[in-house]
Amino acid sequence: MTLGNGIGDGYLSASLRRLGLVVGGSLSRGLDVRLDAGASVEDIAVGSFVTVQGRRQRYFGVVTDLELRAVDDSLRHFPPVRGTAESADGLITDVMAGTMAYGQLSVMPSMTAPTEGSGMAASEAAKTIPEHFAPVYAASQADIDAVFSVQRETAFALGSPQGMEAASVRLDLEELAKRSVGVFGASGSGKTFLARMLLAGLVKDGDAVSLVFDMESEYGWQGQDNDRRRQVKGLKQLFPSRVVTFTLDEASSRRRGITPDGVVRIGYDEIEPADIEVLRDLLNLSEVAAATAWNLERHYGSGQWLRSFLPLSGADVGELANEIGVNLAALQTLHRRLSAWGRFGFLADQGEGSGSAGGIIENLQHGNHVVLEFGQYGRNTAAYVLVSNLLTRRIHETWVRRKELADGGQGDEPRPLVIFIEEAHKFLTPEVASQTIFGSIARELRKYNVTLMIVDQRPSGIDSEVMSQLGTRLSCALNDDRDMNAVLMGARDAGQLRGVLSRLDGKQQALVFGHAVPMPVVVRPRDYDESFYADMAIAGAPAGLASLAENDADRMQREIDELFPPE
Amino acid sequence: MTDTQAGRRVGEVTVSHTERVEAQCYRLHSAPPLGSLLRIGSPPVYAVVREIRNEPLDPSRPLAPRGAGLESEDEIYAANPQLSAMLTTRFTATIVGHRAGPVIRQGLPAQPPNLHAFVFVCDPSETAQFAGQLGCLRLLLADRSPGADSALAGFLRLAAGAASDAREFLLRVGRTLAAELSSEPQRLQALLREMAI
Repeated sequence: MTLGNGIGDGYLSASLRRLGLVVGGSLSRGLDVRLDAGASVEDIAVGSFVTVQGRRQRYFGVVTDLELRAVDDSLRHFPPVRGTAESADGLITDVMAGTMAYGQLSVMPSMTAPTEGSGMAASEAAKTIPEHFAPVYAASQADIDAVFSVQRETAFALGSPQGMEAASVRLDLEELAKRSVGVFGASGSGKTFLARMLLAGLVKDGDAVSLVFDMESEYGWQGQDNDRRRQVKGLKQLFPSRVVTFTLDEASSRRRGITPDGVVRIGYDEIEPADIEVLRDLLNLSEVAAATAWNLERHYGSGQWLRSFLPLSGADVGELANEIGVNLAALQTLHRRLSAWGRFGFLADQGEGSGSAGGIIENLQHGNHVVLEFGQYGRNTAAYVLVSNLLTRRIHETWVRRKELADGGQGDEPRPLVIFIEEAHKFLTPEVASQTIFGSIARELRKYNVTLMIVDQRPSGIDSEVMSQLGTRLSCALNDDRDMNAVLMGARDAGQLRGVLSRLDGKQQALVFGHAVPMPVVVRPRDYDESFYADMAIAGAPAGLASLAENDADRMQREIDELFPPE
Repeated sequence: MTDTQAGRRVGEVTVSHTERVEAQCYRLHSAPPLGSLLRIGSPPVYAVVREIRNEPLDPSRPLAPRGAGLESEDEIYAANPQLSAMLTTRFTATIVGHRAGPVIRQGLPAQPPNLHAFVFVCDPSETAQFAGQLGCLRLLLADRSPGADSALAGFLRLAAGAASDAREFLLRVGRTLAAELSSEPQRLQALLREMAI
């Protein structure tokens, strides 16, 4: 038997739940689907998946809005009286519901597949819409798996789509790392867990290496699940052999019982006037005051200016202002603000031999993922921005050099590198984004194999140019309209996604769209628990589950064994 | 004459139009209920009782009251036996379908029933069989007077009573009516209320 539209009944099994018919719409605005009398609008949530059986193609789409409609306007004024099922009023309500008054879905068609195939395998982006009166069904688990299945080994199970707990949404990590990624969400919405899972996925299967500027020290060794009041494993615990941790604050690491693999010291000689420009807002400096740093560099010489400038007394600063011809008040302000950096224990007179970034670069080049914990300095945004900007600049320079050498046939391509930053709205603002290395990385895309993973709660504060360069965006619930608009900026179908985004649950739900997923999807991220740890275990490596609870003594023994293999 | 099918014979056609028939009952005050499904003549034509009139046989001789001093209405007829010959019951029915061979078609027949065609009241099983399709609703809805809607409601109520699942039948009919009456929700509500059992 075939149905009127030429679809074999092999696919249309009885398990498919018909929702309604396409009665109008457009590709840009989405399809209008009139619900059948038997389908309740209450059973369908925004963000659910549906399939539309066109004459020649099957469409896969997402519900972006729900509407109650009435055939005749007088029903609004004289609605039927609700009654028990057996009563006349009950009959009236039952007849009216779904006929005179009915539910309507807005469906954004995203993917199409030929009707001959099975399900949504071999689907591609929708460029047409189905004909009038095409039947619409709730998407089956097989459809969802087919659309979101990634055949490659780098597929990463992120979670399940809304209302389909058994189905799985997979991200292609290789694609994810090719372009910059944004993870957004209000505080407490679960973005840290989402980001930690993505990082774990990258460490386990990704081609890329990552460098995490870990502001709150929650990604490296272990993190905190504030809702359940428990500790969760960090990257180092999950992947002891692939992740190295550096710290800016050795004392904090020791207090937490962690032995970092390295300590980062930044030399005063490494700080450039450009770094001061980036910090202008955070240091509350006027434009003039920030610009005097350039005069100082000209006066003292590159690499010397900060070391020479900071020890000056008040009177010396006055003389210096005269000597180099800058505004005294501006120079005094700069001196006062920068003097506070004396408290930064990670600043040393001189950086280490190969530069502060040397150890980190070496590890990254060897394919290790690096987490830099900020310890107490994570609470100081200026310190975070200073260090992350400075180190990233050094690392980026190395990658650019190696990439250019590789292009010239001398040496290998540098590994794809994902740089992970938090609180980006504080230093990727429209005013300074262009001056930071992060702004450049976002803009130059993957030219030098370096991309960003930005985790932030106020995306509206981030430069729109940077936002628009984010290939894949994952957004948990946001409270502010401007933030939602910022997340959707430049996205296809932004208008329709807006409704979905604004209705995300406060926790445990994220809208994922962009480069790494075939279509926008609302995901309930999987739990970050034992089963996730088990999935992250690397087959054949000693860093399986057994070594997760590795303590210092075990770790020392393991490192000794690695260096001096037992006969 | 086709009298093989079940059903009570109630009268004969006195006037027939494309869309409706008028019939006269054999017995005074014995009209089929408003909304009843009728089978008329051969080949059978189906119609739904739309209006019933009890009146003098000769319209030029109007009735005068005869019961002053009598105890009951029955005594009037007992005291005036000629009345049953002078009075009659007539009814009008809207044609809704016809039988073509074994198939029941909803809609108008090519010819209206013959004069003097016998009129039968369909039994529940034939009513249920006829009401399996709902194409005739349009014909019944075309008459927009409240009396016509009551006749329609009566027909659907009888059909529901004859259906295997009355509630399911009423819901199905209700949804068809809703499509027909999409611009008249108040009329739809009144109709639904009247046909609910």
